[in-house]
Amino acid sequence: MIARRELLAGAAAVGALAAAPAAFASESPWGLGVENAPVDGYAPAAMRRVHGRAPSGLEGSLYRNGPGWFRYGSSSTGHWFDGDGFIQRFAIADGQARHSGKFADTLKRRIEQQRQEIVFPGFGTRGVRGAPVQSPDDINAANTSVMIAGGELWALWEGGSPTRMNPETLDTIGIRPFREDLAAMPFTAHPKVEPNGRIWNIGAYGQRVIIWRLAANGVLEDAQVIDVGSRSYLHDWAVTERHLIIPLQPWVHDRMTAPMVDGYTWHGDQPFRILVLDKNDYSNRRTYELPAMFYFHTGDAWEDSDGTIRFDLCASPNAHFVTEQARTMLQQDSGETPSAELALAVLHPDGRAELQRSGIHGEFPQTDRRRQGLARDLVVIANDREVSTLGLMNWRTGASDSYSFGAGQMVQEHLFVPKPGASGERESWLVGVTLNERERATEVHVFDAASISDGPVVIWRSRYAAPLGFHGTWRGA
Amino acid sequence: MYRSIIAALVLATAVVPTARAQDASGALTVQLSGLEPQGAVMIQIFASETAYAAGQAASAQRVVVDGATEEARFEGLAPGQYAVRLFHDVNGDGRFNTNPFGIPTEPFAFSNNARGTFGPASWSQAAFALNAGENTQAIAVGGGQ
Repeated sequence: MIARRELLAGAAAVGALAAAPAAFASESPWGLGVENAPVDGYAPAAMRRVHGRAPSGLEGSLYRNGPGWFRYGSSSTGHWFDGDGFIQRFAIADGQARHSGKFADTLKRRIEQQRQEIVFPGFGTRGVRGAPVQSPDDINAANTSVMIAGGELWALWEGGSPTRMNPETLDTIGIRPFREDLAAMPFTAHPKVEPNGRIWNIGAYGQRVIIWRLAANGVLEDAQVIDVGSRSYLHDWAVTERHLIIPLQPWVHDRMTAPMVDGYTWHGDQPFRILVLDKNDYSNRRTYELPAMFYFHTGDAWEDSDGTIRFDLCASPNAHFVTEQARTMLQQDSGETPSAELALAVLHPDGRAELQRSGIHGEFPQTDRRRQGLARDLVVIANDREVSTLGLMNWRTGASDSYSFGAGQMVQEHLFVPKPGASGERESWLVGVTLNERERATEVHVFDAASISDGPVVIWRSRYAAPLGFHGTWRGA
Repeated sequence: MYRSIIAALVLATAVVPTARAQDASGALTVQLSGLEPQGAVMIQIFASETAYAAGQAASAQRVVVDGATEEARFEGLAPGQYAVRLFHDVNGDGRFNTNPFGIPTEPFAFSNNARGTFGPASWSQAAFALNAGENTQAIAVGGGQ
């Protein structure tokens, strides 16, 4: 494996990074991606088209969320995942792109800005002694993903409520419970939206999980709590037309300690369990087992006519990234962890489970969201570690396609955006963001899903170098 | 993690009579602010760390909430260390409501405006000296900080 640092050093040696700041070599390779964004965010500004032409018909906004504030002087969050949610918008219209960004105005951020220090405990942050926390929403960082519902933009975390925002101005509206008795319940950053608009999500607390079902307009239809029998770390899940799929990995919260991440233990001798529930009757369930592995993200799921369930996920041998590297990268001392491998979990009707590995590595898997829960071929992943590449896997043919961004680009999640009037998966654009370290600028790249190895059809470069983000959503014009 | 505070607050009317009221007694006015004008606030006062831990209130009151601010007055208290805890029974069902995972869904607060970390404020955070004569605790209820 090529370490990110070595790759950069190699690139610098051949002159590609000659213009990089001198301090770069001694900093974390992630340095530019984990610096504080400006306190007031980014005012909307035109991006410069630096390659290609905007494809006709690409109109809409890419919204992205991710941690964007990490430190006040020497007072630092203890983990990448605990930075304040910074929401960015890349609005594409009339062949041009504009970039803006704003922090979610959370209670946590208001108090920490006032005190100019990291106050609250988080996933990997201890917080100050006696930090005032009366509800999970008091420490809600609103920093993981975004979705559109009921005309609002929701900034999602996983331990508490969505934070409602104005999708035009990115101003924060606030937290409003789905129902008063369900205030402060967890709502993961990975809701699943059926083609008809219905929204499913889960939230975990110990070994209990709430299953949310919302109408397309974001109004609660149903919420039920089930016991899944394991305190596994639960970040993402999957949904087919008929079933809910809850992976229960052997990274288990078995100690109450601070910070929370220290309470998890890797049980490599235990299986990776997959709980499958009937959408219409949560008591009707099956459990499948695969060998131990760690995952953050699934792609999406579908089932064959014989009942075989398939879902893609990015599998790692263990939890090293979340327990080690996502901490040290903030302290400018990055360990190296290989990226996850894209795989397809196959759950057979006879109870057997198998994992089909793709051989391509990366994270942030994305599929054509029009096919949520339905049979499809493609999944795209971004590799921001060893080599910055975008990889597209076709599970039906077994073929993969990829594009390498070369040194000095950190590639982030890319989303399927349907071409107007087209219905095929390949008749989509892949729209995503990179952080160009050489230019110290965030870029939007647009690929044609039919041929990503041909490279981007258009690149817009921002005047801002935004912190790395996690997940986004696309809202068509 | 919230079990202890729930157990402590659900029985807001459980009172251990205080026999210590003397001539040089003190009075405590609890000034409440930041209230949604509905329901009632259930207030307990405690006269020792042991009683606080055991939920044995020296006195308790229920104050109907008509405005953003309300007051409660406790009289005949022996001077000494006290702590106040309260919750706002917003929906008026007489209970301290929680969500299915046990997280409080109604505002709660303590004397000194103390706040615990994932639970009730400790005695040392909430305790204050009550002197003979008039005493006041101003407590902001709900709405964060």
